[in-house]
Amino acid sequence: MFFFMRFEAVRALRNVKYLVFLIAVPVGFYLLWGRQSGEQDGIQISALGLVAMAVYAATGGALMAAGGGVADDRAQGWLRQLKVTPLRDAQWLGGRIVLGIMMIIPGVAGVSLAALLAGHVHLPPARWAALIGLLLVGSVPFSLLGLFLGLTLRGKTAQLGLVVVFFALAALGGVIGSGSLPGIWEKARHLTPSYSLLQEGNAVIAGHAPAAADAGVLGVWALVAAGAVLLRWRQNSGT
Amino acid sequence: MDNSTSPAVEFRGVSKRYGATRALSRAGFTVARGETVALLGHNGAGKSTAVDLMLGLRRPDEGDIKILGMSPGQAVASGRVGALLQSGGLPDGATVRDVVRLACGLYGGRRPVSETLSLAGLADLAGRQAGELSGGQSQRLKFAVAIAGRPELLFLDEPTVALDVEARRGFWSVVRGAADQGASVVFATHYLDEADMFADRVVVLSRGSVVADGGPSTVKALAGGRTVRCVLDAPDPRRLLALPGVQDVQIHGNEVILRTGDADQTVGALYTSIGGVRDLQVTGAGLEEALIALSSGKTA
Repeated sequence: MFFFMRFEAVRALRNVKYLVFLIAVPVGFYLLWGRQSGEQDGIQISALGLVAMAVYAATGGALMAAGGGVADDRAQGWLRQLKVTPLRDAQWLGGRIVLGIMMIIPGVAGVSLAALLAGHVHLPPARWAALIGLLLVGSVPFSLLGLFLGLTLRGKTAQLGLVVVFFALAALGGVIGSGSLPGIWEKARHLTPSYSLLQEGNAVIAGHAPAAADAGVLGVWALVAAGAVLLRWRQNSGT
Repeated sequence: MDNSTSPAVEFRGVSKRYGATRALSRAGFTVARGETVALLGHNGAGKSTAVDLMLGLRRPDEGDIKILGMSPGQAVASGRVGALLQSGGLPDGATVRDVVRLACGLYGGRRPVSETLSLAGLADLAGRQAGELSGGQSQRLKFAVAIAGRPELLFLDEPTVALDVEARRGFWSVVRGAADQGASVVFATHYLDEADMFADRVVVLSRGSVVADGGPSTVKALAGGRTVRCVLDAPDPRRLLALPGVQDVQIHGNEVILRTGDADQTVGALYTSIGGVRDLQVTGAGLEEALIALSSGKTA
C-alpha cells in the first residue's frame, strides 16, 4: 500500500497541469482578490479570502487526485494489471481516497503561505491548525466524489467532467464569486458540500465550532459518494 | 494441503458463459510444477477466458480451479503468481522505473528493482515514460511487472501478439532468461511456432473445449496427418476427396494440396485411379495444419 501511495503521489506531483490548477490558480486568485484589507464581522477580509481559496485548493485537490487518471488507467488496462498483483481492491480504493486527502496539502500550503506573506493574515496558530485539520477531514466527500466520477466517466470526458463538477460546486457553494444566488439556487447552495466546508472554515477561523448542519451535509455527501463508489467498483469488476 | 507439492494449476470441468456465448464448456487440464504449458487456439477459443479465471478476474459458472493448491484469488493475493495480461496496460505519467519499483514493492521486495529491470531488458529504458514505449518494449515492461515477485507460476496471455518477428524473438529470449528455475509457465498463444518451441506441453482449445493435450509431437500425431502436394492436368475435387485417407482438398490451378490421414494409400490411389501425377511431395503436417484439423473437428 505504501508503494502504491508513493507511486501515485509521484505521478500526481509530476503532472504540471495538475499543479498549476491546484496551486498556482488559487494562490493567484488570492493575490488578486483575496488580500484586501479591512474587516467583516470582526474577521480580516484577507482571512476570509484565505478560507475561500484554501477550500478551492482542497476540494479541487481531492477531486482531481482521487479521480483524475482513474478513467485513463481503466481504459488502458492498468487497473486490470494491478488486480493481478497482491494489491487488494480495498487497498486500491483506500489508497485513492487517502491520496485525494493528502493531495490537498500542496494547494492549501500555497494559499496559506500567500495569506501569511501577502495577505498579512493574523490568526492564532491553533485556529490555523484547526482550519487545515478541517480541510483534511472535509475533503473526504470530495475525494470519494472524484473517485466515483473517475470510475464512471470515460476517456477525455472524465478529466473534463471533474473540472466541470469542481467549478459547479465552487460557484454554487460560493467558494468563487460573491453575493447570494436567486431563488431556489440559494436553497440548493446550502446543500452543497463546498458551501458547507466554506462555512465551517469561516467558523473555525472565527474561533467557533463548526455548525452541525454543515457537518451533516458533508457527512451525507461522503456516505452517498462512498456508496456510489462501491456500486461502480462492483459493476466494473464483473464476474 | 501442502502448497509446495500441489500442482501449479488444476482446472477441472470449467464452464463459463457470457450471455448466450459459451466461452468455455467443461474444459479441464492440469499444469505440473516446473512445467511450461501453452494454451493454443484461435481467437475466441477461450484462452483469455481461461487465463482470467485462473487469475480470479472472473468466476466460473461451473467447475473447480485451484492455483498452487489455493483459490485463484488467494494465489494472486499471496504474490506467488505473476501475470502478463492481454488486456493489461501501463499507466501514463510514470517512468519505466516507477512502474517496476511499484511492482517490486507490491510483491514485497522479493526481487530488487535493478535485477527486475535488467532481466526484462529494460535497464537502458528505466527513465523512459511507460506510455511512450514501443510495442515490444511495453510487453517487456508488463513482463517485468509479472516477474517482480519471483512468481512460482507465471501467466502470459498472448504476450507477443501484435509484435513483429524481431520483437517476438527478443521477448521470448527475455522470458527464457528470466523464468526462475522450477517456476511453471502458462502461456496463451495462437502462434504455433511459439507453442512448439517453448512449451513442454500444449493444451489445444477450440470453441471452449480442450481438443488436445500433450507434447507438441502428440498434437501433431493427434491431427495425424500428412500433406500431399502434386500437379495434375485436370484436378477434380470430388474424385480427389474420394481417395482413401483424404480429409481435405485444396486446388490452385493445376496444383493440388491434399490433407490425408494415410499418405501411403492416398499416394497409391493417386497413381492408380487418377494418374498423370507430377511433382509429388509428401510432408508432415505442421502444427498449423494440426490446429486447423483439431479446431474444425474433422479428425477422427
